[in-house]
Amino acid sequence: MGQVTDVLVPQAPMASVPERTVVTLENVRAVSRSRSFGFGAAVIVIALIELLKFGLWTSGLLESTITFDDNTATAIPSLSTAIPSPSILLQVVVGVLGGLATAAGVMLITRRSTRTFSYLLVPVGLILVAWPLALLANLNGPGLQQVAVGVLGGLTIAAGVVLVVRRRAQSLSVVFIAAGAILIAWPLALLANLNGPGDILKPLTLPVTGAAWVVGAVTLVGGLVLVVTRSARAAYPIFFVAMALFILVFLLWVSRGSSVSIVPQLTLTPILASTFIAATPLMFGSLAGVVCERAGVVNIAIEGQFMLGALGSSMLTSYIGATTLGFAAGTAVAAALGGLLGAILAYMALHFRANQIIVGVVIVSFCTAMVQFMQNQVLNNSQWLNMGYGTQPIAIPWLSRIPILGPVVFDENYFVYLAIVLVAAVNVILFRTRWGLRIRSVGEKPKASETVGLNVTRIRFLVVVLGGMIAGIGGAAFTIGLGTPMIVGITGGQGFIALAIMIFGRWRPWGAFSATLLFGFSLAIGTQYGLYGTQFGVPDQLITALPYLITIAAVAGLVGRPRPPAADGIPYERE
Amino acid sequence: MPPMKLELRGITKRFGSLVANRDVNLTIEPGEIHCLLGENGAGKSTLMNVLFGMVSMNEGEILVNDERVVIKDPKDAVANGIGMVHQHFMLVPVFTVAENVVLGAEPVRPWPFLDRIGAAREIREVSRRYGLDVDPDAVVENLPIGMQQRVEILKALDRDVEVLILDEPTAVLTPQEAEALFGIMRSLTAQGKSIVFITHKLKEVLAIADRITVMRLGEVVATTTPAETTESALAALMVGRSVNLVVDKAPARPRDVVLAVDDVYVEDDRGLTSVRGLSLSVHAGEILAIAGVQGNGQTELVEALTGLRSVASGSISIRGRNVANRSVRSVLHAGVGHIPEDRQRNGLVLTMSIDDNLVLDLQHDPRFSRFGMRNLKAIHENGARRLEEFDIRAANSAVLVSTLSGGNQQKVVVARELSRDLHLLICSQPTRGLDVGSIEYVHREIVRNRDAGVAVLVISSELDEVTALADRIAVMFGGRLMGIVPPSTSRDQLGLMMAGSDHELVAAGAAP
Amino acid sequence: MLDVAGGDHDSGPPTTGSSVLLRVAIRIRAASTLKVTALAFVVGLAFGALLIILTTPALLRSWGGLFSHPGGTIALNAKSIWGDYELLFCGGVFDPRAVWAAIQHSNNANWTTALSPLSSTLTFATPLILAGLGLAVGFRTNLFDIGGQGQLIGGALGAVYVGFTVHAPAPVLVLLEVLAGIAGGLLVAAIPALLKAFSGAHEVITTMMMNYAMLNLLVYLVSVSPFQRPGQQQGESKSIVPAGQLPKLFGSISSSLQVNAGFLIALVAVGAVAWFLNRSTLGFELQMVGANPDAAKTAGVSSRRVIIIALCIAGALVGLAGMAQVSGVDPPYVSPAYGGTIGFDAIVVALLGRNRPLGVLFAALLFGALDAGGHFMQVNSPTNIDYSLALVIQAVIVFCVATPALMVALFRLRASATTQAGLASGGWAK
Repeated sequence: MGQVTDVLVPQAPMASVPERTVVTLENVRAVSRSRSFGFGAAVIVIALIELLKFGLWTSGLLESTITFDDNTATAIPSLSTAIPSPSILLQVVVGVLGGLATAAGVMLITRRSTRTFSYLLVPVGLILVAWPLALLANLNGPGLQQVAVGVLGGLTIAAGVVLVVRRRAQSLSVVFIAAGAILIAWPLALLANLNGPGDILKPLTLPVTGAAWVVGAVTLVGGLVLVVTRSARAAYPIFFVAMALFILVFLLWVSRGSSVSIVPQLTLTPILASTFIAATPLMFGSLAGVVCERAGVVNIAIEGQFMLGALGSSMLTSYIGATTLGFAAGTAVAAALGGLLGAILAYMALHFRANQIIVGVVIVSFCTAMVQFMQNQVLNNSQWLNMGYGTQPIAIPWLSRIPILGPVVFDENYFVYLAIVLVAAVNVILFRTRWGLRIRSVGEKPKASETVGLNVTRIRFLVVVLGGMIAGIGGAAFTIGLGTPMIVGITGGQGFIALAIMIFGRWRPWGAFSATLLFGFSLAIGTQYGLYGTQFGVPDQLITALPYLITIAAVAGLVGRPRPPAADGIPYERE
Repeated sequence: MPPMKLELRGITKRFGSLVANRDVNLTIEPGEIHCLLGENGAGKSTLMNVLFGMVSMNEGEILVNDERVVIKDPKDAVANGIGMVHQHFMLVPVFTVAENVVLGAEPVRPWPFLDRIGAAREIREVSRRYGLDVDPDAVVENLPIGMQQRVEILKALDRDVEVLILDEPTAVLTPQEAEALFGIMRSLTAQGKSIVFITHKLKEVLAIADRITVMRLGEVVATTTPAETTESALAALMVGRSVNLVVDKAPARPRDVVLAVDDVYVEDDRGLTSVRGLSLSVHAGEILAIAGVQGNGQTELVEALTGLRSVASGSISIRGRNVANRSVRSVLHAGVGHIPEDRQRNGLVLTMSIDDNLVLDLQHDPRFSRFGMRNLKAIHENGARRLEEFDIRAANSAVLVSTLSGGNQQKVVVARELSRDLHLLICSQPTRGLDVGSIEYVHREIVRNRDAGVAVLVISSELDEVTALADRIAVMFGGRLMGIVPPSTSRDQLGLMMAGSDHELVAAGAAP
Repeated sequence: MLDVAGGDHDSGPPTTGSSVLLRVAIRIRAASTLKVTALAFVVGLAFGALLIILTTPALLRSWGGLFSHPGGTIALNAKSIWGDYELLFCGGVFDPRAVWAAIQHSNNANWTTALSPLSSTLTFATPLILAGLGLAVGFRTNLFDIGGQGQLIGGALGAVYVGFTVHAPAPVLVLLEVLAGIAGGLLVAAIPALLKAFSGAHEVITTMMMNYAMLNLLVYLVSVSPFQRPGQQQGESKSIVPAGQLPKLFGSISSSLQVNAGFLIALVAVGAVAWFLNRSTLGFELQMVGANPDAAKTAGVSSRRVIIIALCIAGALVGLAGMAQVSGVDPPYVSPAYGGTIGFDAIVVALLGRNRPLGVLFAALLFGALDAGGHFMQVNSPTNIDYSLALVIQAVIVFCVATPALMVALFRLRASATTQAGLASGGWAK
């Protein structure tokens, strides 16, 4: 026995291999700063294109006229409808309630409450207070109402801004600001007399260069702000707004001279409407992707879930009939089929630890074949199973009367509403509830979840089934959503595009939602301008391809590389 | 939950034919700090993973306050008042401290919405009570390691555990952070919690423990207290025998300088400087061994030497040719053999045959390829010959290397690297995980190459190996060289250097 | 990074139990590639049979009488299914009666009928072989290139452009088309390759996006000069001149036998890729990077270089498939519908062939035979079964083969190394 006198027994204090971090970002903060810089640079490039190409070097006729489709653009409703007057007792009650609500809201806001509804209390409360007061003062005149509506809009915006500043409930703050802007714009638009003859808006003639200069300047400022401040928070919003503005100016530029020449006029509302129509399945698909990948499972089978959802819903609804029951059953069966495929994917991925991408591809291939077989073998011989019933648009009272926006957003089939509700719900679930925390932990570091007693496999399984159901409903949106009979290839690879959207939206429900609109917009322009876009030397295919190219740029890190959940796609093995 | 007594009786855990724990008995009294001491592979972590429900045991039972309990998974362990801080933290990097702490037992208000305010308040309170000083709203990945460890402790405390297992907690800490951790441990025991502290650092054990249990080769060899024992007695218990690692070798006859490293700085994956101004040279015909506790920059140094990692500044030259920031291939081409630290990850392609693995970095060698075409016959002959030569136990050289045992896999790597035309051989932990026979074999091969005029650089955290092999010993701490000493230097002295002696430690600053 | 492992790992023969019978039983139950594929084929046919029953009203009705006359019901169903599968076989492999007729009365018309199944099988298989080979090279390097469609379009555009602009003798022109096809596919693959190598952008997303970008490019190009066919408003390119079209192998018998020299190109490609993967140092490096990128890096292999080379080879082969398709099979021009689902099918062919050159060849032939047989079956079936039944059978086979663990569990086979699919799992972040 040798004399052992060492102070430190020589051996490794840690296992040899440092735990391998899957995330390629080495330093989050530095990267997010450089990402903002990249976004800023991209936005500046966009601004320069607007300023130089559209603003400076555009020659010839420099005016562009935007018209609004008869069916979709309603006129601005008048404000002169009298204030409804309930009984005195009710007036008092309403006034008191309004006062209380306002007071509570103000108190909560000044105390930096975290409850989002406190921000809602103030504008609602003020309306309630103002209502009996206005009756009392007998102020049923148009002028004051316009002022009142404007003030209310200002307050709503203020509440939204407070939310933004306090960095909470961002989705709600957007709603607040949008609602406030509408309320302010309403009386202003009436003053400007934008209503045309009939019940629609007047065509709007805009100077192209002027618009390009204004938009270009705004975009440039946004880009410069990003480059200078390198604010990670502002990067995506500014980028999205810049993209939207760019497309707008581009449209103006393309249709310049339309008021006098044979060039078709820029008809705005159909483009916006088809944006939403094109985007609806993508909303479901990308949301399904977000849900699954947040739990660490790559669901590349969304395309297959789309197909079976489209097929199943079409068949069942045709069988039952174009009734509420029929549509409900169609949607349900679509969800069930999507969920079933999700379950197969999850079982393969979790139980057999198969490669998720391979299983996904194979599922898509199976669904493609199945759909084609069912189509040719069954549907073509039994037309009664493929009637192409479609849901009717549901106009939401009040909101659907907002010009331009109303017919586009608030007079749609229920799939659009369902998608928006689901996006909001998933967002809340993922980031505000205990389930969301668990789901995200499983997608980021399953081992940590395991040590706190969570069943990783079970959570992942349930989430993938849920994601499959969402994608399945998205499939139903292709057929019974649009009233289109089932045809082979109806999904057109949009299930794969949904994945790109998910990445582009940084694995966030609202991010994916915004990206969906961008994709939908470009698809809509592609179809609307398909017939004559090339006359202007800009192939419409370029516009259609733009989102794909942007996605490539995005994943390549040219405009900031998105960061996936750390355990995304990696099978989990218990020791 | 009242203070709790925990008892392990007759725990046996086998992994295949390997016995990780054999009939282990252990009692943790309420309010004590119980040190579990042992070498790597002594079975400490396995025992604690059994206790925490991460690993199922083959035999034995666990008693809480003299009542038998069943622990199938971590959930059971926590329900029985047992918490564990793992060596690799079980934290979700992108979550906040509060989210990490409450995960799995989230407060909701109203159901099912997370009660972030309540959680943060509670965490602040617990944090204050035990002097943890953690901000609940900080995002974990932005926190320093020491702080992340506290989050792990908080996680356990938030679940009202009475027994807290700390698995090698000081391995990743700076001395200052370790000192702070000891303060926290004392304040925990003062409030009735008991702590199982797994370590192999004797000084820490004597400083903090109430009782000490020493494990060796999966068995408990002694239970004692700091008052009754000394460092050397504990070390003897841990090692059990002096490992007879005498390598027969003649005195070195160093010739020209082969490897010259001058003032090299290297950054690790996180962008932190992990090698700080290191200079050394290795001569032909000598073995220079770098000793040091792992994580003091050795890994990064080797990666820089072999071209796997870029050098921030300084120069590395091999036989007078600068190779800093050159490609791996050009470094290998300069006559460097590299036995990597982690053979399965860096040294072998497990899904390929032994033949192929024996030519992984030799495939452009004219012996094995011509005009971009592989000479399969030569490759197979080479495989068969090496199999014989290095006594690699396999049916034939065409079988997948994944079917070999760890020792034989390492022999494949060694055989490959030694079949290169060598001027410099870099061996990282060349015998980790090998049986005694294989260790001796690998050592003999290293010495044989030295005698053939190859410059050898050995990096090992096994002090026995270092002293047995080296002609000169360089000690690394905190990314710096603490000095180069002859192999006759006492282990005391080496140990002090590996810990960074006091004044140098201050100079090194808060090096990880 | 984890292997796509089968469920359990108790592979290898047992050490005890020397009885011959037991050994035989174990051998039978061991999951070899061939066995899994054969069983997958059986499962595919069974699933197809189920579909035939479920979607043929007469058969479905017959089950109502199962209890009154079970024999008749089962015989009716079996006869119907057998009839359909017989047609599938006759259309996809060979029709013994037609061959016999041709031998007895040797004339062009009879030989056309006899050779037609073989011809259409090989015609269907040709682009799948080439594209499947390309993607398999990517998969072997652990690069999941699903950009087959885009690369196919790239290759076809290149070949078509040369085919209608260059005037040269047939062999020279075809050679130029081959080069242009290779270049076209390679260029399309080069973008994801460079992005992957230099910024780590995940190839699944970039190649997928390239598919759509290329589709848009195709739609654009066929509507403008120089590609647009004069007089055609849009939607079709000019045709490859007859000299530039690949010669039909059985052209002397009948022009309706489509199989052409593209198949020979594909066979050459199989040999070349097999040589490349198994015998060349570069191929060895590709597989090193695919199997263990860390070890490859330590051994001095530049993964960046390998990634670029692997994806470019993949693109080149898929581009060649695009060339073979457009210059070998009618029509000899591109339109927005060009390529159909070849790009996607090639992925499953590569998976089915386990990313081995010969495997890809057989997988593509199987797919081709099912395609050809499916069409034959549809035309001749008394129950009017649609040809897409063959596509379903294809998909089920691939599903079973791609998830060998399922087959192992389903048929209680013993797991073995061969049942592991050749692609490691990984997320977007790698």
